[in-house]
Amino acid sequence: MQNLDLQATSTTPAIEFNAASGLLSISGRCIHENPPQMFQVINDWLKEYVQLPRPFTVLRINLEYFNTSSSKCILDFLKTLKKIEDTGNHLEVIWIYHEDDEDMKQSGEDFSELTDIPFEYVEYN
Amino acid sequence: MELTAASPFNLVENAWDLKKLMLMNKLVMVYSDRITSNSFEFLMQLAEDKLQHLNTNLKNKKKILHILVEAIQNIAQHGHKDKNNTVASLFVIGMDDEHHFFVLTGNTIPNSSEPYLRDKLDHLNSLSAEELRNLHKKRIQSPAYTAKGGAGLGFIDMMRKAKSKIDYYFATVDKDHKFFTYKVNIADNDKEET
Repeated sequence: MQNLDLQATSTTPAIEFNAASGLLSISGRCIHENPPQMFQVINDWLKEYVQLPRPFTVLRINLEYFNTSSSKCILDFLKTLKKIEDTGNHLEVIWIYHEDDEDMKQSGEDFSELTDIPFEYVEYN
Repeated sequence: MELTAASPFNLVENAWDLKKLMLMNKLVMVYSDRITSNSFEFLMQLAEDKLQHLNTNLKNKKKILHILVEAIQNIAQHGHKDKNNTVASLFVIGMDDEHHFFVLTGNTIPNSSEPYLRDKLDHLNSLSAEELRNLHKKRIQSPAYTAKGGAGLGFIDMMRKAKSKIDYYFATVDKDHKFFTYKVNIADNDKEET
């Protein structure tokens, strides 16, 4: 299947999903006013990927800002991705945030709890 | 909405008073114009520059900008649109003192929205941090977006980020409309450290 590469804009994140390596990355701002529309392409790719995932999938999320309407889409995205574990595949989610951004860490903890996926937290400064 | 001045106001002569009012009230940024869904990118850039210039710490800067995005998108989605399809709006970032920032927004609403907003904000203001967290968890998992596209999380999220209550006021615009203003007070994050 094809990789998915989307350039970041001032309101949407950079997407680098590599189907061959199982390395997925979301980074930047996720503050589009109509997130379901923005997530359509991402979700279409994901639906195909979870059918036949790599044995090890690593998702790196490094968001500067996200709005509350996007948070619902991020949650749904994580829930769909978690399905790859049902077929014995391994999923690792790395949540990256600035060391002073306690809210972003809290958001990661919320998503982790809601999806029942243990996140690895990485701080940068 | 038609506004008529009670007495002539010469803006050229009174501009310094307007500026003094802003300085005395430590208003970092004031925007009084129509707000559309595209406004927030411009306002976010402007606010980022302003806060950078004030050497605002990253923690506060991110909280302010996060609240800005929610507040502006809230107005764009839910504000009452006049016949020109615009929402009469006000957006302010200011400081109550050198450690306390606030974000204030105002927009016109139909009278019928007042009881709903009052109930909603009174309820949220009565909740503890833990109760807000639980409500957030519940809302984010509910399947439907609200009718106008929001996730019903905006105020909850602003309060969680600000770690404080929201002040609000409804001023009468005309017989059918109110000007709904709310102020998100951002708690002093560095108090313990200084």
